[in-house]
Order: sequence, then structure tokens, then C-alpha cells
Amino acid sequence: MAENSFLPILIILILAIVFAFATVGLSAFLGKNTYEKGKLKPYECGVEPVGNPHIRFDIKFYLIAIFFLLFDIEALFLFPWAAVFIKLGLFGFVEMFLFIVILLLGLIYIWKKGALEWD
Amino acid sequence: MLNTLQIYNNYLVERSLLSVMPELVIVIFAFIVLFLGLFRKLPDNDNSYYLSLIGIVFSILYVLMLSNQNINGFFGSVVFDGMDVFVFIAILFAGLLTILMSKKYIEMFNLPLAEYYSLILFTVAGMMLLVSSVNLIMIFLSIEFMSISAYILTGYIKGNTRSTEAALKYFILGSFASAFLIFGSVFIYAATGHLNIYNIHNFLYTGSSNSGLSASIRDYLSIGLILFLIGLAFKMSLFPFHAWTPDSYDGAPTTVTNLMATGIKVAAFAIFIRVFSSIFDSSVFNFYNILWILSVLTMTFGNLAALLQTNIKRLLAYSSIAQAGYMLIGIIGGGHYGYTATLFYLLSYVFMTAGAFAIVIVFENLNIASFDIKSYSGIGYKYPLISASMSFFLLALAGIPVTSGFMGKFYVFSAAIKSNYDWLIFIALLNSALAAFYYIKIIVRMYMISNGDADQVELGESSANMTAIAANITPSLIITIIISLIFTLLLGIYPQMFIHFASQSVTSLWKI
Amino acid sequence: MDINAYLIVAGILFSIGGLGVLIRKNLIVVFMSLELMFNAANLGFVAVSGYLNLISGDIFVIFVMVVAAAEAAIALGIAIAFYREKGTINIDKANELKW
Repeated sequence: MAENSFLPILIILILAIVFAFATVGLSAFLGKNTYEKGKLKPYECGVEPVGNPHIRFDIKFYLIAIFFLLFDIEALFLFPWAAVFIKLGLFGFVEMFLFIVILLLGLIYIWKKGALEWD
Repeated sequence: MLNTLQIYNNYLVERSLLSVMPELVIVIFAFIVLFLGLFRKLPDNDNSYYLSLIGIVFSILYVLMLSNQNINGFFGSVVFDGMDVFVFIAILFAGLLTILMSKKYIEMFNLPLAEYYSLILFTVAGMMLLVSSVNLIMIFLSIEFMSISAYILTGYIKGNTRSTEAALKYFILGSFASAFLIFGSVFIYAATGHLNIYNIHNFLYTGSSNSGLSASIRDYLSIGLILFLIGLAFKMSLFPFHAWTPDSYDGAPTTVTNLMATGIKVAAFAIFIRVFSSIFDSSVFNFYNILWILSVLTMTFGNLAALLQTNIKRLLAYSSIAQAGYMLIGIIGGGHYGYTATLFYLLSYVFMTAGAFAIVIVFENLNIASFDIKSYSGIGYKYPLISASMSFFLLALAGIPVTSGFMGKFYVFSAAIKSNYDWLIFIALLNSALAAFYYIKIIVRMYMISNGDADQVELGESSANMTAIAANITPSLIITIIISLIFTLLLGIYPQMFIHFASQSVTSLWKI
Repeated sequence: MDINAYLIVAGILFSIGGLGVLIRKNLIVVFMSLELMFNAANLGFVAVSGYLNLISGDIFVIFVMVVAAAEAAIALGIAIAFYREKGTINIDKANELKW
């Protein structure tokens, strides 16, 4: 029973591998190979590329990424709570409210600290 | 399900909150300190310093108020019992002394104060939660709570490469230890199906008679407990897992070093006693042999390495590793007496170490001595009172009679003798003699006048020295040193009261 | 369904992570190895929890994931500070404190 339930996943896995290799392999085998300068350019949605792609990103992106990581992961606690929301009732609501308030305190802190401002 | 919730609503909310009240007070004060720091309009003065002191004092009052209660909260994940009372007092004193000694020191570095004090409070709250947790989830969470705050504090000196490097090393090995801890929890969970250590205890000792555990459960349990032991051994800085200790103690701000050496060590040992007494089933695996080896290796290595040190902070770090070996002897001695001895040793260790670090800070503030021990030559004549107290703390760490260190060693060793660990005591005594050598070496150096610049001490200069001291030694540092002195003496001269207190706390461990 | 198989896979992952922490020189790779160790424990918890038909192991996993995220934030902060001071994230350059 348990072993059988993984069979579709195995099939889709094999199909995916075969398809991935087949498309790349076939295009390499059947297609015509041309080499020119334009093909080596990085693809930016069809627009002509501007500047070197290996630029340094602003440190601000990095801070935002860390904040996103933290607040995003904290939202993980909301999923089990949502699943048993009816059972927990008001008690669960109050507890989760307190949890969100504590998270909000963190947000207020980084906001006041000026970590969310550009420039 | 609904039934438990109704009970929870009507009755357990208050008890749950009550069971974490001392921690809650600290956390609330930490938040107040943190948010007051946001208002630039307030002058950047001593607000956060005084508020954190008030928070700690309130927490001590709460602990004393609740002291004879036995409260079980949050569906049995947190308890407040006699064990907590004793260890909380030790931890809160460690926090109090750390805050007291950091006033002038942290202002020297020109760093944000509010965050510093709130992080200290958060670390203290994490230690307290760790001691009172009886659930593997809570143990993991509070270890991380404590450690993450400590990682930040270790790297707190911005732009100082030593501080950053210390934080880096502490972080990598600390998380490594946490990974061992939770991987051990997996196997304990696989063997027993419980995460609450009291449930695990019942499963092991009553659910099935001791011989009734199946072979696979035995295997899982022994793997799990050994991994768990490794995780905690990192936090206690026992020998093969000690590598982070000297580096992070050296690089961290000295006040934070003090907090790590006193508070975190006390918390780690307290939770180890709690876990060891309940789920380390010696019929599964003979853990006493492992602890025996760890203890001998820890104290021998710590003392030998401390002999070679020339930096005072690293010397104290290695000496704290060696002290961890002595503390382990009490746990190996086991039983009521052994745990009482270890708790007493932990309390006395807090005051002697805090005193020694406070004096290192005095010398650092005054710029009269770097961390190099050589620069301590001859300062015994320039600064007689401070040097005398330093000598006293070093003698206490060496375990000379009249000091608390002697009584601590005495109780710990006699606990092991009661359980017939003669060889262990023999090695420990040899180690104490070895340790006395390097502690006394510093004292000799302080009172050794042969150093070149020490000859220039004259009356005029010494009065200049007095003004320098007055400017740089804040009252709070003096209070720190005086508190440490009083308690080191009191624990050494009149230990019965504290032993009685500790033995009462240990009794609660068996009231499962 | 044998629980041993899951625990062995978890053990292998844990060992790979541990080896990575001990031998890799790049700070970011070391952090990734730490995450691997945490996730090996998560795998073990989910497997045991499913096997014993309990829920407490799953709850532990959620907490481990959240704590791992918090640790990652601290770790990256320390890595940035280290890079600013040394100009590299090679862990061998953390060599000021020894003995």
C-alpha cells in the first residue's frame, strides 16, 4: 500500500528526466548550430543589455532579504493554527494575536531604527 | 481536546503565567529598554542601565516570592520548582554583576547602549527559561534564545576584528552543538515517543519494567542520549568540545565574557543535572564512565593549557574549563548530596569569576595593564586594594581555605568519595595543586617589584594614581567587587545556610 | 515501513553536514552545512512522528525551522561583518585568536 502510493511519483520522475534529456539532446542533434556574438549576451527580456551584469548590489537589498526571511518563516506558525482554528476557538485566537503583536513589535523596532528606508 | 482546553482556560492560564513570571519580568524590561532606546530625544544617558538593574531586582523579588511553590505551566513544558529558585538566584546574580560592571566599560567603546543592555537581559531570560524547561522542544528553544543573544553580544564591538572572529567561532560551534542536541532528541523521541522529560522518565522506569525495554529501544536511547550529552557538553565546555571557549572568551567584550563564563555555564550545568537525573538511564548505558573520562580530561586539559597562557582572559577561560571538570565530579558522585554539592559549587563559582573579571575590567579601564599577564608586574604596590581583592579571587579559584572555592571543592570531592570514586579524587587533587600554581603565579607577579617601571612608584605619583582611579572606577564597579567579595567570603566561612538551600532545591528534582 | 531506513538517511545527511562544517573553508558553505544538519534532524522527526502516529515531532520541526531561520539571519550578519573587516569569507582568515 505504502510502497504503491509512491509509484506515480517514480513514473513522473522518470518521465521528467527523459523529457529533459530528450528535448535538450534532440535540439542539439537535429538543430543547426550557429555561433555569434549576440547569442552570448545575457538575456534581459529582449531588451538590449545595459552595463556589466556582475555589479555589486546595494547592501539594502541584503537587509530586506534578512527581514523577509525572518518574517516569512514566522508565518509558518500560522498554518497549523489555521488548520485547527475552529477547535481552538477564542483561546487560540488570543494566543495568535499575542504572537502577531510580538512580531509587530519587531517590525516597529526595525522601522523606527530606519532599516526599511532607502537612502 | 476540548476538555483540556477548558481546564486550561479556567485554571492553567494563571499558573502558566506564574510559572514563567521571573523570566517574563526580565523580557518585559528588555523590551522597555530596547524601545526607550529608539527615542533619540531622550539623552543617551543611564536610563537603560538603571532600568535593567531594576528589572533584575524585580525578578529576584519574584523568585523569592514564589520560592516555596511548585508550578507546572504551559501543558507541562515549563516548571517552576525548588531547583529553579536556587539556580535563578545564581543566574540573576550573574546578570546583575554583569550589568553593574558594564557601565563605564561599554561607554568606552561608543556603542549603542539600549541594545546592549536589552540583549544582556534577553540572554539572562534565555538562561532562566533553559533551567525551568522540562520539554525537549523548550530545552532547544531556550538554548537557542540564550545562545543567539550571546552570539550578538560576543560580536558587539563594531569594527573590532577580534570580537567579530570570536562571534564567528562561537556561532559555528554553538549551532553545531545545537544540531547534535536536536539530533539526539530525534533518537530519544524515536525510542520513547515522548518529548516531555518526565513522561520519558515514566516510560523508562514505570511504563515497562527496566529489563523490559526492547533491544531496538535501548539502541535508539543510547544513541540519542549520547548525542544529547555531546550537545550539552559543548555548552558546558567539556574537554573535546571546548574549542570555542578560549577564543570567544578572549575576543568578546570582557563584560560579555563574564556573562558567558558565569551565567551560561550555570544554566548549562543546571539543565544537565535536570536531564541527567531524569532520563539518563544508567541501565541503558553506563553514562557515569563517560562522565568520569570527560571530567578527568576536562580538568587536566584546562589546567595544563592555562599554565601556558600569557593573556589573562584566556587564562581565565582555560581555568573555567578546568572548573567545569570539578563541577562534573559532583554530578558523577550523584544522588542528592552530589547534586547539592554541584549547585553550591556553581553559586560560589559565579561570585569568584565575576569578581576576577570585574578586576580585569578595572585594569582595562585604567589602561594600566593590557591583557598580557606580564604587565601585571608590580601593580600590587600601585593599587593595593584592587590587587588584594584580585589575589583573593584568584585564591578562591585555586581553592584555598576560607574562600568559597575551597568549600565548593570540598563538598564536590566528598560527594565523589561517598560514591567510591577514589581515583577521580586523586586526579582532581593533583589538578588542584597544578591549578594553584598558575593562579599564584599571577599573584606573585603582581607583588613582584623587580619590574622596571615599578621602581618609579613615588608618593606624588601614587596620589596621581588615586585620582586616576577615582575617575575611572565607577561606584558600580566597586559595588560589583564588594558583592563578589562578600559572597565569596560568606560562602567560604558559613556555607551551611547555602548548602541547606541547595539541598532543598535538589529535593524538588525527585518530586516528579 | 521501517523506521530504521529513515533514521539512517537522516544520519547520513547529518554526517555530511557535520563533515562540511569541519572541512569546508567558505563561510557560506559552512552555514549551509549547518542547515543540512538541522534539516537531517527535521527529517528524523517527521519520520518518527509519522511512524508513531504522533504530532509532537511535527511541532518540533516547525520550531527547528523557525530557529534555523533566525540563526541564518545572525549568521549572515556575522559573515557581512567578517567580510567588511577581512575582505574575504575564507574561514582560514579567522586566525587572530589562537592559543
